Amino acid sequence: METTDEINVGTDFAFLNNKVFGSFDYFTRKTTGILITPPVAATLGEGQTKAVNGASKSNKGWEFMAGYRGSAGNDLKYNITANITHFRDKITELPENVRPAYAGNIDNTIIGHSQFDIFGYKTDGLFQSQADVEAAPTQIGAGPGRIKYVDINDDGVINSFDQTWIGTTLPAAEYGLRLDMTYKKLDISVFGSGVAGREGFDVYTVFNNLMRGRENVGPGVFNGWTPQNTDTNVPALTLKDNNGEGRTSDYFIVNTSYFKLRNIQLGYNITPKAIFSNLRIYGMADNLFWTKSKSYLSPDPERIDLDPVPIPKTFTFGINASF
Amino acid sequence: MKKNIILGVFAVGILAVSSCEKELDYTPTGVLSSSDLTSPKAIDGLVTSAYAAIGNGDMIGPIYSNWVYGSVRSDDTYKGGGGTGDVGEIDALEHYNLVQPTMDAFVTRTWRNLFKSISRCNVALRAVTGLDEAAYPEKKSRLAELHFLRAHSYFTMKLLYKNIPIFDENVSQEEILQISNDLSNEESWNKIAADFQYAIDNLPEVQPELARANKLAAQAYLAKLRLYQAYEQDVNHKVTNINKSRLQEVVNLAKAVVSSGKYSLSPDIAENFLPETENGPESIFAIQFSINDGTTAGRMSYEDGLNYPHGASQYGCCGFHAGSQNLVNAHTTDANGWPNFDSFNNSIADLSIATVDPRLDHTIGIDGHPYKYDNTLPFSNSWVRDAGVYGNFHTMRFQQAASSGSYFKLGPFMGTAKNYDILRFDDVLLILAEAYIQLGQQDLALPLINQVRERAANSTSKLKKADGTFASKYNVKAIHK
Repeated sequence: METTDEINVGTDFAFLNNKVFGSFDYFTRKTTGILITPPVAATLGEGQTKAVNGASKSNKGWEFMAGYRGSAGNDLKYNITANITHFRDKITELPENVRPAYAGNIDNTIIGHSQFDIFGYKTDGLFQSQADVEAAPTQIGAGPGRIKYVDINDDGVINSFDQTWIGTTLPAAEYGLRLDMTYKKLDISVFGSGVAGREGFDVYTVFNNLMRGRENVGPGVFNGWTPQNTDTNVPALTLKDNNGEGRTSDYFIVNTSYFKLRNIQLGYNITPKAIFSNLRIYGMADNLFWTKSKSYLSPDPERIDLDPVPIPKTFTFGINASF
Repeated sequence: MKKNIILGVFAVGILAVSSCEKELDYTPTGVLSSSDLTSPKAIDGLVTSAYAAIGNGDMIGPIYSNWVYGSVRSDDTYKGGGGTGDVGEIDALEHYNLVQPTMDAFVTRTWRNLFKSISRCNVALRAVTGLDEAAYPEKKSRLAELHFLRAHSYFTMKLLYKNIPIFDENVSQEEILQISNDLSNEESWNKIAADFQYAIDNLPEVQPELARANKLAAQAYLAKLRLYQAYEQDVNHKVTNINKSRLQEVVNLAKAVVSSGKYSLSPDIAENFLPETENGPESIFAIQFSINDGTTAGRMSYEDGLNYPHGASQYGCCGFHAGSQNLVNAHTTDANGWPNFDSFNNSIADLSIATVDPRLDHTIGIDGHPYKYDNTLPFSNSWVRDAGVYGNFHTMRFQQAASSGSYFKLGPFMGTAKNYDILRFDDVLLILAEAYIQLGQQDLALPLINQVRERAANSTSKLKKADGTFASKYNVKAIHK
């Protein structure tokens, strides 16, 4: 049976005549007996898979929200709120026979790691010469201009046992900011949110930096390694990926933090003499701009899959009329 | 009134609570449990499902088409498709580069599919064994057929993986998990051979129903197995000895099939690759496929489903399986109509001058030559997907014309209802010939080889272009000393 034990501690606060307000929440959740379907040896034939209660995990996190209500005279009123959350999960128990279905290997299991952690190879730039290749641990597919993988277990061979935990796709924090302000008949509101301290894969690197026989490639390949062009992180161009460079490695991991200004609104209220009781003219923009790390090549940091349909920028103008 | 409604709600609540336990405990519909499978009719269905399983390979986990494991890995063909990265697993196999961390497609998938087949045989064997012969008169034959089918899957597995766990229907699930793949080469061949021998001892020579395995099929298959086994290997896969007594077994088994008179070569080799003439005189054992059988998509073979010309509008995908230049060169013949045994690959064959074996035009598409015997739509280089990497020749033998009644397009991929021959009479002739040659009896081998060559020479009637001429210059003749 799947069981969850949860503790939530929280406090709401307000002081200075409710001008400053906010809340803080801390939660921990332990789930045991999570249903999982262990892989079955092929020799047993069809219809043998069954779900069992086996895994346990824990989640911990906190949420903080604070706001300020302010005014100056009778004309200006404003309201600022900010929130920030942090969360980590950890797999604490996983039966041995299901571990092959998860990230990790025999030496380095997922126990104690998050399901969002990344398991793969560490890289150390590109091989610059044949001498460089020969001095390095044996790596099948190595050659000048090829990605150099790190021999984690120091056995002189690069193989699957050199994989390790190379990062997590969980952010250090997610946050949001909001400002609402009115000045006489004018009102303005701004809302933005983002994630901080996050890394992950940039699928564009695969298409921009690596040659692929099947698809078009990005302009990054013009900067491919050659004996003359060694100051680059783009491997030598090849149609044959003998080095297995598409494998999960920190080569593809970049800072994926971002901040997006999601919505901004500007309005003006007028009180007409007849017909309408109130009229508000407003303009609104969605997704006006965002910031992201330069090393992250994909256009939209929020869309981390391969076929990102970009979130459009939207501009709206309108009139609210009340009778 | 209000009170009544509240009472009513309360009553429904009690009903829901009290019925809850029973509701959770029900017999699911649409599910078979082993207790339903006790009647002879149901158990015969298990045998049929074991037959079905040997045709249950898929495009990326093939179990009967050897285009990837055989043709692409040999010098006959290339992967094809859209560049080397398109289904990169095949590319890795083509280059013997098996360090790729993800080989779930092909290597492990084929393994799983084969064990599904084996498991179905074992389930059916246990069920059939429990039946009384009086209630199930087919018992003896069905048991033998199941041994044949199991041996077929193990044989395929042995060829592809060499070191495999082998077990029969008498071991429990727990025991299976303990069985290792550390049998010696000899032991594993002998275990599989024992299943074929059981089939030989218990199958009739002729089955009342088409497609069921018969005694001759089991003899032919055991001959094939013993021929592989005769080449004894050490742990490094090096042939250390050719076992003469095994070869003699091959001769005895294959001769029994030949002298039975039940099989013969089709007059034209094309008949082996066309649905209209499937189950012909040459087919000894075949996986049966069907279309227009009452189902929406038929019971089709998709293992060659990626392998249609990409640029031809009647097909449209996906251009895999390109013939190699070596394959074309190997089909050239000399003035005697014999193969250019030693010099065939010294240069690129110029098909406007060179004479060739007609089998070339049964095997691959070549610019301007009829494709799959349709001279109204000859093959064109414009049909080729990635000529820069894989050249202009495209596979044809196991493909069907888009106009064929056996051809079916499912999404971007194509299936065909053409049977897949596992054993043909020409195989048996050549198995026998090879055994004779290794035994030093070349004079007995030559007439067998010449039968196959003469049939090839006669297989030209479907190869004419629209103008009535041939696209290639054919010259193939019997070999004499």
